[in-house]
Amino acid sequence: MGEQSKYLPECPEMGEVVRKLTEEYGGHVIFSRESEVYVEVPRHELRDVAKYLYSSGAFLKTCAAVDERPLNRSFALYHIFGMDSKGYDVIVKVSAPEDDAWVPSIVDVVPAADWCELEARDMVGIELKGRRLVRRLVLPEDWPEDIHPLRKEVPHDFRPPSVKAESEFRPPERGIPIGPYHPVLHEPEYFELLVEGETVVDVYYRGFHVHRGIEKLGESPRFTYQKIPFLAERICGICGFVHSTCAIMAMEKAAGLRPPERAEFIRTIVLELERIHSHLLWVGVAAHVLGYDAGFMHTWRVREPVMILSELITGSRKTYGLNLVGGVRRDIDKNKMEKIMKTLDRVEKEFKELANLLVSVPQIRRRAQGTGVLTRSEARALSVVGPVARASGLYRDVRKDYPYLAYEEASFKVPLYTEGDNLARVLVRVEEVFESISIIRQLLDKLPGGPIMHEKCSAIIPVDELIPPGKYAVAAIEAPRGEDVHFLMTGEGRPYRWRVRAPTYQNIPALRPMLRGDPLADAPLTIASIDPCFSCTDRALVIDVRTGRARTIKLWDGGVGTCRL
Amino acid sequence: MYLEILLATALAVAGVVLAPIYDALERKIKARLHSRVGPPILQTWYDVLKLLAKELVIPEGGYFTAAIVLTELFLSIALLVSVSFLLFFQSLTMYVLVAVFISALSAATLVKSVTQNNLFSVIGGFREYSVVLSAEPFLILLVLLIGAKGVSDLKSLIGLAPVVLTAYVMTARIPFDIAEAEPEIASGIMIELSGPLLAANELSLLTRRYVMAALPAYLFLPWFVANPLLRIGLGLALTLLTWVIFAVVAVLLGRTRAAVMLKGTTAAALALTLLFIIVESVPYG
Repeated sequence: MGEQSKYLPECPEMGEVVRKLTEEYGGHVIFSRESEVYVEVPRHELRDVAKYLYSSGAFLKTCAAVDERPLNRSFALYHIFGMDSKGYDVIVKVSAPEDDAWVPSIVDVVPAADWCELEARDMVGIELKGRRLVRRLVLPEDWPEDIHPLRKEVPHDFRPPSVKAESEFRPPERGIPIGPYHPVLHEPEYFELLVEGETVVDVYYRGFHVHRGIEKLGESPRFTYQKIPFLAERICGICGFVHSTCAIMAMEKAAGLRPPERAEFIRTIVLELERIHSHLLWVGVAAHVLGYDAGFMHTWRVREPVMILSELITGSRKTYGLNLVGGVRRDIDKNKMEKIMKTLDRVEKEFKELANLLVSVPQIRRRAQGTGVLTRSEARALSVVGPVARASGLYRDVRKDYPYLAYEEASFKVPLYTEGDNLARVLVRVEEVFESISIIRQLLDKLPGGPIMHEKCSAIIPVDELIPPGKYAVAAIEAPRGEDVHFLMTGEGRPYRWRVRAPTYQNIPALRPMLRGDPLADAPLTIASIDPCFSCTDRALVIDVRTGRARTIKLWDGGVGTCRL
Repeated sequence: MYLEILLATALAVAGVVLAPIYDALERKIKARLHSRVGPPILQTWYDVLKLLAKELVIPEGGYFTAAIVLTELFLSIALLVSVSFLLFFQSLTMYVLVAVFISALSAATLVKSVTQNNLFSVIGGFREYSVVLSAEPFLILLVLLIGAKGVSDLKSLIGLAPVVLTAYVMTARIPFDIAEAEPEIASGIMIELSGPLLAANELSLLTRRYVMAALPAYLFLPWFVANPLLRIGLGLALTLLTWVIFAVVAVLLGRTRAAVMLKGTTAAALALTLLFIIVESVPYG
């Protein structure tokens, strides 16, 4: 109780949740911080705890399975519940002894747990009790039954022999295959649409074709805390900075240090720039999917100055390499500020004209309106994130719910629509571009002076020594596609477990209700409307850090799920 | 008469050569409207020649698909020849011939799509069917009407409207490219084609586009312009103009949905055709 009383006065609701979890469900607090509390509950209570938390307004952010056998001879599953309206996270831990490795499934209570439970089963080998449908999610069919890559005894460069493919769950009819290679999917994923005439009646999805085991790499000896942000940035080619910042925020939390204010402002500005170019990219792609290539080309023309601006600020158009634990590597001087302001004026003016034109093209309006509808209750049940949630009337935005970096210094609106259709998702993103422009302007106006790197994080003291082992941290950032979550459990000089949950991971399951009953012609638009980022979801790309060279590994050399460089 | 046959044939040959050049021009126009530079004017010919140099891959539909693709090419060239002859010979037989070739060409495209053993192609085939249904009957009716009665009055030019509309639909440009619809059904009816077969398919599509751009001018010109050389000059110029207009329209529009398109264009084509018939049946004075 001593540890709990520490934060009870600060946040009474959090105290109430903790009291309930400890007194009624037999849990005990294992770790806590200002806006996070970690409670271990007995596994037979997990379903009731999940039911209680979900009914009291929590969203499931994700769950993270950890092989804790070297520490306490058991496996653990951490369910991360976010109390969005209150601004804190409740992380519920359940343990399973190594010789009896199962946890109860909560998927019928919390549908959003569907994927992360299956991933826990694939990657760590925790069995799920009480789950109706158990299938492989991440591991390929030819992966051996008894090897779970995230178990500690599996080396990070382990490459198993291919085994005979097990029969996979498939719907009985033959559907329309969209993927793994399809013009509208810019990365390999597989959707099978079952149609009657031109109407979609059901959807079958298979992803993770290019899973490269980045989480495992992060735990491997070749990575340290200071290198991981660079690895994290390579999770995604569009919102890489989100991942690098999110990983760093988790590490800084664990180290208990806060970067200088100026560094926080710079990170926020770059994050918003990233949102602008990501949304502009998406608007262009949406126009292309609808056969309106003029819209595509012009959106990308408007986007180009933003890319040039990114290069000016960070040195690269993409994959900035700006972040270090404790601060940033480049400052924004007066000259750059002027250029940013000028570019933003231009982008705002041009995009305003273009956006008005785009939504007035009859084919776009007619096809986006009323298609791909996701109702509020479906969105809530699946804990969808980002523009997808906000277009379905769910007020969710990490920037407001869990203010981080310099977001409290800027005033901005969170666009909210209740229609839940493709048009609503277009409009949310269009409005967010203007909000982001306004945020950057405000932050530049207020940009504080001072250093851009924390004094402790000098070259003399390696960062790895600042982050003690045995700490937990959850960090979340509002990426262009929604909430990005990084869960960190620290180890000696490197993470013991690093879990990344990209926004698309949370949104793909929502495609099923969205696609059902819609015309086949609109299916590509609906799939595109969640702005899917499969590389984030799959945590796909492998980078040789020593040479900085990216290399893609073909699907047929070695199967999916290996993490060899 | 021999001179006219010669001229008509030359015009048809010119059409086959010009179609890919006009296509490259269309790409250029599109690029300029997109604020891009665009390809050189011979790019489509380079593409076709390159495809012809590739190895022949027989698609999953077997030799039948290949045969149909070639038949389609022959039919489109035959259609171009017959349309070129319209400029000099206005007997009803010529118009019937044009109608028959238009119909046969559409039939070949449909057959091509269902012979390929591919779901996308079959969906594309159904979509092609709806495109054809919404425009082709009216176009054929208009061709036959003009052939049977002739047009001599300026008010008959009202017939240009349905001809241009249906001709545009038949070019399978956006928003009527739903049978191909690359981002949706991965090129639909063309999905199984590659190399020389794709080149043949491309050439027949472009020839068809040339015919559809030429048709409005070739249907009406002979009734208004007496000098055959002037007819040729005007015919070529108007074909180019129509192609350019079609290209610009295609840039401004997005792709439509099969069901929406069928209703809208059928209604418009029907209304305009009826208007033409009514105007034509009103006696002079």
